Amino acid sequence: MDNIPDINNINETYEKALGELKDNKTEQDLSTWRTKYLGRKGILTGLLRNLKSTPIDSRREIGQQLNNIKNLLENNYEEAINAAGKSDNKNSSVNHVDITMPGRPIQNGRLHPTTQIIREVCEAFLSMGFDVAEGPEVEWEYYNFDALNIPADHPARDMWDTLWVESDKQEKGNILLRTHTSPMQARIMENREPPVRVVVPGKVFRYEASDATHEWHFYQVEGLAVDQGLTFADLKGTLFEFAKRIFGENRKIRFRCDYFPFVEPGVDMSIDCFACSDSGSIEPENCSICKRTGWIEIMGAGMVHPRVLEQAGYDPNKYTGFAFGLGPERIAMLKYGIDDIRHFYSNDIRFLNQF
Amino acid sequence: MKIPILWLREYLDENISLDNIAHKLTMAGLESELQTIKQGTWSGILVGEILEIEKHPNADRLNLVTVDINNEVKKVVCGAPNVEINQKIAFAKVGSELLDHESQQLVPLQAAKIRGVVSEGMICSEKELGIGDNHDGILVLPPKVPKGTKLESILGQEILETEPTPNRPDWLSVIGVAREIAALNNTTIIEPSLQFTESNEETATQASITIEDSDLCGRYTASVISGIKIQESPEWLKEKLISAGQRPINNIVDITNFVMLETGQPLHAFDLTKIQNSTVKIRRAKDKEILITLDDEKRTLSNDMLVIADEEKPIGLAGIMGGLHSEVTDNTTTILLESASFLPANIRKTRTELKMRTEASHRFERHLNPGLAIMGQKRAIHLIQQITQGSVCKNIIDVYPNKIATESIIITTQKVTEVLGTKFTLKQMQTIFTSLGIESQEVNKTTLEITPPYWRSDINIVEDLIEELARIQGYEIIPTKYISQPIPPREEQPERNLSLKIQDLLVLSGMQEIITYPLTSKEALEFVENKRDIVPMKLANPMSQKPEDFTYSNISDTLGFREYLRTNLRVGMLETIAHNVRYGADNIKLFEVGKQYIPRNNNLPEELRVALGGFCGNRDQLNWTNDQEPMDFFDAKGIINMTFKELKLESIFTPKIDILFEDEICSAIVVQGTEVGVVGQVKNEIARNFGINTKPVIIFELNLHKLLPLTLNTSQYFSKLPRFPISYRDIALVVDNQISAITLIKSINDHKLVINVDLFDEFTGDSLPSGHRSLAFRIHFYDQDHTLTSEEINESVDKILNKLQHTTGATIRETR
Repeated sequence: MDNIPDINNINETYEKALGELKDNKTEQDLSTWRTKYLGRKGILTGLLRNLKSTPIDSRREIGQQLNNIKNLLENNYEEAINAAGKSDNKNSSVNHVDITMPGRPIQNGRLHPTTQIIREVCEAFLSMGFDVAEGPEVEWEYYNFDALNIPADHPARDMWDTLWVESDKQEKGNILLRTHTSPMQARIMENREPPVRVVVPGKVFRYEASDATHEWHFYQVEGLAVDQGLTFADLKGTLFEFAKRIFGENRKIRFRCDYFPFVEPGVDMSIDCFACSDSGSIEPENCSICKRTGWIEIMGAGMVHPRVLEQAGYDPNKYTGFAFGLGPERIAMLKYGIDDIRHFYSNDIRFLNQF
Repeated sequence: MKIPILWLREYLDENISLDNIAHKLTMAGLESELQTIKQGTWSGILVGEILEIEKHPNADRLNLVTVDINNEVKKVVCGAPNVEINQKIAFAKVGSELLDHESQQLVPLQAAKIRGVVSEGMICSEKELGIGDNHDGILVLPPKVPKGTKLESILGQEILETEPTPNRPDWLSVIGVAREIAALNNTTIIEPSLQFTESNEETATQASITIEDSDLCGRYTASVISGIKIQESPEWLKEKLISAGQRPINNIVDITNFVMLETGQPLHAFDLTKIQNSTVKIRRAKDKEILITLDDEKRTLSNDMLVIADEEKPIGLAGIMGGLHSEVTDNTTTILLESASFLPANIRKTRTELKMRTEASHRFERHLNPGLAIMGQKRAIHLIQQITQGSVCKNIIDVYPNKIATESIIITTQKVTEVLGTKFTLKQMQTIFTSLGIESQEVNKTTLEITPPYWRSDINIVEDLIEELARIQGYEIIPTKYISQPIPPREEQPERNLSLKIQDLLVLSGMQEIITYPLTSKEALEFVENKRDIVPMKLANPMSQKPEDFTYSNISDTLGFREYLRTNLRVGMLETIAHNVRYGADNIKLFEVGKQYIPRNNNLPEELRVALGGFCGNRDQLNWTNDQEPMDFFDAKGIINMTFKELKLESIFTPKIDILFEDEICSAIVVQGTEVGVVGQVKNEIARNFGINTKPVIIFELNLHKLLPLTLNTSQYFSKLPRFPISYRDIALVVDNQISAITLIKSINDHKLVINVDLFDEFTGDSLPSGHRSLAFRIHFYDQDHTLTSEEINESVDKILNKLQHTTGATIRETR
């Protein structure tokens, strides 16, 4: 051992030696340890031997410390050898390790399944050039309805059973809990110059009794793209690409006509039912997932209604756009086969930690 | 809406196939499902036409009937009294399965000899088909049904259950759906007859109509029909109504209902003799005016509601329901028949205020074109005359004060391409419009001028027409393409980014995210947070309302009443912990990132984002490698420390009083002098109120809106790795309990050679002076210029100890 002792390597050696001593349980191992550290050619002995190479001004102190440590280690060795002598000598030289014992538990955290899906959805759209924005959950009647071509006393308002907040009517109407994320279409267009390409995840509310497929509180992800020359074909391409990423390449995708007051033409996008499509195990006539239609609705969409563009200050003769909205819980339910939407916000850990 | 297929068939060319019709309509925008209401399979039952009827040679009451089932002629024995030549009937061949009513089993029909004559099948009654109880005669089918057709494909028990969208009131009618089917088959419908004969009596001499509030009533047509005998409707009419889910009442009411279902136009028949002076005024109701409606309810009206009134009083609630007083009764002989057009928004407003919803209001509020009013009027007169032989006064009254010419719409092939991204030729466009009954005029080779038909109120702009083209052609013809425009500029979302980061960090530290309801009870909100001068925002129409006299013993009893927007996330967390404790969860570590809503005067609330963490139960899952110890304040603090370290922020903890937490175990979290949050152990009493009785609950709350500005200024620089060894010394200090650990750590850290201090032990015991504890520190020393000598280190330790003793009274316990 050619180590020149200094205060640091002395301490290190001490820690190391103590550590190793604890790992050695049998008399034989302990003897080996003693030879390694305290023997004639041992590490500590070597350090003591090299004491003469240390600077004169610190030699005395280092020497003291070394002797101190040597004594401590001797004491510890004595204790250990006594303990080993008393222990059961039938033990083999190697400790028995039962590798079937469970590992040390790591408790990992998780995001809520809704958050997971929202992130997945946003990620897909981010990669297609969309920005992510958020907006108020408590909203003016104006943005939730009027700005979206749903005037007061219009029967289309029945499509959104609304929870109203006690308030005095203001310029923008009464206050409500937004029934969809679509108000952000109007807000975004009011605040940004075209072109825009944004998705908006967020909480929405409906005055609705809860059952296996309905919740009064859930999430939506809204999308809006406005530019010169955007067409229905761009809408179709964007949503088909999205559906492939989320549901896989092999899903069939269907567009059918549907009505939302703030788009024209309007679209309902469905994918083929994975429970009863040819790969599935259920007969289509008995399928409760798609209600025997073979298709599952996943998104509403359409070309932004010119009145909505106009009201937000965009020139409908110059710009066209498309919008869409989807429910992340529904996607999670389809992906994981969850049979009751009420699981999501009852926050039972036995549910949450499955995802 | 229920659309009986058999009824629908009457307006369609018989060559149109209804195979897969529900799917086709659904694709075109009318969500539909075909439901078959029948028992048994009806296999082998076909439509037959009766060619000949002869008397049975051996039985007076029986006939021998010759039936043509298209490719075959059969002779059967039939005892039904209502059998007639040329009737279309349901014919069961030998071997067909019929329902046996006693056993409720399907039994194959056997060839039989009845009184010496072989019967080659059977003409069925409703009962034998399992579609009704009528066994008095055979079921007679509509004359237009082609013979040889399978019964199951035409019988009215097949119902198309549709869900019309609110923009299409025309889909609330059988004809409207027929038009749709015709268009999808590139043809047009067979229009029903509007013919009738008029008497010499002028309608205007029999009744007078005045529209006083023409802003609410755009058109009012009225006819007077006399000589009516009120009785039951003929079978065909009753059957149609029943098949569409309506209850037959009497011939006049049934006809008005039939026409509404058929054309979409609601009508109302008044008993003319009950109308004071035969004078009808369409006017706003007077305030508090009373009308007893047909359903025998007393309605108190207000002056923004429109009524049909005579000289004296209201006789009907316009567009919603007639009055009881003027209703058609068995004694009625003369009626005033109304078919009108009302302002949709006003109908909706009135019926909402009165909490009524009728078939009529449902249609009116969806905006019926005034053009439909006169069509409905004529159709109803036609039927009334046909069924009751009543006498129709000439010149129907038609008050149409603000006649608006239907505006035409210009559509170009170029515009279609701009919206759809695919080309339509002018010819293709014309074909589709024609099949929908939409008139188009060619302006030039690329342009059409369109006049929307009277039954469509939803076509107003060129985009509406473009949707018609796309949906009739089918959305599948539109190509898919990727957006080729450049990506628009992005806008930074710092608050969202911070939320994401914090979510990730908390997940990383082993916590499970939850999402709780933002609505809760006011009692619970106030129970867990310091009193502030705000009142949570209340819902105007909560789904569950707390009764005024509600009393509770635990705060958790109030949680079912979600009437208030949360001003904190604490309630949701405690509710969630309680829920999971109830189900036996033990090591609960949860967090939520959500908004609390702080009211502002006459404005939307401020939505402040908060990250809330909650802990309850043992630190680790039960396992052989660890001890089972409940989590405490320092579990939460450790996660906060880690989080802030990752946010590149330094946080300090100072004592705080918060109503939620035990006074001694509560700390403010302070960053750069700003209090950004709080952490503490929930008071037992509060936890108990939520139903948590087992282990301590620890909660931390970080206000992201306060944290956000602080995170924006942080920056991160690389620090060089140490060139010389780092040395350490362990010291154990005995200090007064009043001296906080952070004071000692700070003091030690102040020394210029100290780069880090670890507090590695706390010891209290009898060996120490009372009110004192021992804290053990490992102090790490480093200098960037040279390896420290032990003299330098010893000197530093001495200085540190001296200073500590001087400032805090700490003394050394031992060194190693």
